[in-house]
Amino acid sequence: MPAKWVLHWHPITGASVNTQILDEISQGIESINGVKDGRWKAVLTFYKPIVRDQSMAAEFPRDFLGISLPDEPYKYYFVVRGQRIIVEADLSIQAIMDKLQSYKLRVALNFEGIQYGLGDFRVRVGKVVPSHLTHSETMRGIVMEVEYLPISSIDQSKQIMEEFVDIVQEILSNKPLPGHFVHSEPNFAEYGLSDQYTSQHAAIQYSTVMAQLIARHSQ
Amino acid sequence: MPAAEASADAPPKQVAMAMESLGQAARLIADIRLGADRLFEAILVAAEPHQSTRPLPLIVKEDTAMRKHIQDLRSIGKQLEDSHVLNEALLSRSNSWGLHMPLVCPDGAVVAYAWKRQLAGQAGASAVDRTRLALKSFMEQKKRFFPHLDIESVSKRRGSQPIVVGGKEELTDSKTIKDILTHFVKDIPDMKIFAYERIDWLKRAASLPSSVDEGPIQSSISHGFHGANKPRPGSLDAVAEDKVAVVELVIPSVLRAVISLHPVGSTSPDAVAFFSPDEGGSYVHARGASAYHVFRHITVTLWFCLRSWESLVLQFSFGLLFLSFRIQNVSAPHIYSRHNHQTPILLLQDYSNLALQYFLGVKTETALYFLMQWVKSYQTLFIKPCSNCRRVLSVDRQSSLFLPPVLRPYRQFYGAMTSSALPKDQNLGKVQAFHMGCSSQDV
Repeated sequence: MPAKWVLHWHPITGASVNTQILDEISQGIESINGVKDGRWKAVLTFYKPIVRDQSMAAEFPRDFLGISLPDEPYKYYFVVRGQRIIVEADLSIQAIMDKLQSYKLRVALNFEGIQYGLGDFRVRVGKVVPSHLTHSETMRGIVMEVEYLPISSIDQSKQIMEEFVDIVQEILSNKPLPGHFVHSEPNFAEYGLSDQYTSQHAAIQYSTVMAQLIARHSQ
Repeated sequence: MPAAEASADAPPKQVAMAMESLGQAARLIADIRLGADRLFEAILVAAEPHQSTRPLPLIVKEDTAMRKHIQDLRSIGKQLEDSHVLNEALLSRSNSWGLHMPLVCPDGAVVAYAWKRQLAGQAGASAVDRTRLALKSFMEQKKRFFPHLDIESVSKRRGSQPIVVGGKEELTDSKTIKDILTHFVKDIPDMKIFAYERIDWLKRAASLPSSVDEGPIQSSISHGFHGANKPRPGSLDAVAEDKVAVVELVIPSVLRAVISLHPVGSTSPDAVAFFSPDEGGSYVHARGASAYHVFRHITVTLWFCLRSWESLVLQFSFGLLFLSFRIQNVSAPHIYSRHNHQTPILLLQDYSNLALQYFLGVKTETALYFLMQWVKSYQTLFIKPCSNCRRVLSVDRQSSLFLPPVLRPYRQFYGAMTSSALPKDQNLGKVQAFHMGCSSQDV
């Protein structure tokens, strides 16, 4: 799979995220010859264990995430960040969980937006909204994915990705916009993953972004 | 004497009619020959990928036509037999002066006046001629329709081309293709080198991409090859030296380069193309083009380089061609034809002129060696900043694409390789890299 970075928008203190910022970002991508390529959507779900005995609840991980990714329509990913666990499962696992009544949905969030092609790059820009409120204007955050299609090695693509993101940041800062994108790369080795990028890497990146969005909200 | 039941015509008329029938027969035979040719061509077309159903109606049509021709031929033959023109038994009758006219000899020669000895002599002579003609025709057909059956190969006659590299101790004696490749394998451990017969490469290309750690042995296992003792396909032991037609160079996680050799078994490269290590499919071959811009651009620069190695005239004509075409939507011969994309091709005018001027002096025999060294220099494609603008990524002015430095000027590279006594790695560290728009005339 092509190497990918997932970045999230960090607004300056006091500023909000809204559709206007998202539009400006999209325009910025289009100004460097980004060609609209379609829409994309990822769904993150926080699960909460169903336990008869409430004291048992503490034994379960608090941040148990289920993730469905646009590039893998038949897979479902589970991430437990605290213990650095990533599991790739078939899409049918959701039905199994339902039947087993082991976990229930606590919160589900949609990451959705537009995809652009820029030569050997692919950029996705999107908003973060609760799944049941997709048409509302209030968004919890903005994310951007940058993919370099020719190679799948994370190390090899690092330099190129950095420079590309710098170029994008520069364009956006000229607008000017109240904020900037932040990239914090998770340590994939801790999850047992290799240098070759896969959808499991993507799932971990999304869970990291999610954690940072939550951290920001709670500030 | 022939029974006159066939017709009440006078002998001259019989002769005339018989000649006419024979003429018709000859025409039918020619039609059948043409039909056979067309069938061969249709089969050849059907053998190509993606074309297998196209010739089907053609084949059906030809089949019907052929059957009709053969049927007609049979009826004419029957006619001629009935009129005793094609009757072999007549010849065997002794004491006959063989004055039955016209007569068709067993070898197909039509003789209007049959004199026994003359007949025998003619039949003998014409049989030899006809055999010789037939053999020649068959050989031509074979070469045309079944090129891969060319057993008395050109390569055997030419033998393996020796190469001489001035200044390098290890390579001063004549080297065959395997020698060069083995030398390289030892020399450059980070680059994986495989050699294939052409047909084996086609199979491998279709089975790509294999995972990075999976070498040819893994993919061959998954394709049902058994036998642990069998050398893995692609390894230098597995292929006969005079059959090496494709050399694959893999720099793991960075690129895959496919080099085609011509003639088979020699050391002269005639085509090279670069691909992503994750790409696979039947378009991955020395004359194919990658789906990604960065590799396509490298392939084009190399294309110029190879052409200049081959012939002077070709160099200048292509140089002029590109000078006159100045960019937009020109399809450089076959390289871009496969991929329909909107971004225009770069004008490689500056770079190709450099290549043209430079490679005039380079011997053809060393082409493969330096080609491989040059491919090796692309190991840093994604990490080495441009020697001019100091960045890795830059927007190419003409195509508006973000590209890493795809140029590795081979002139300096060649100079560094031959003149310096430093180990090769250090030499390569001196090789500069440039973006398309960053290289200047001085380079």
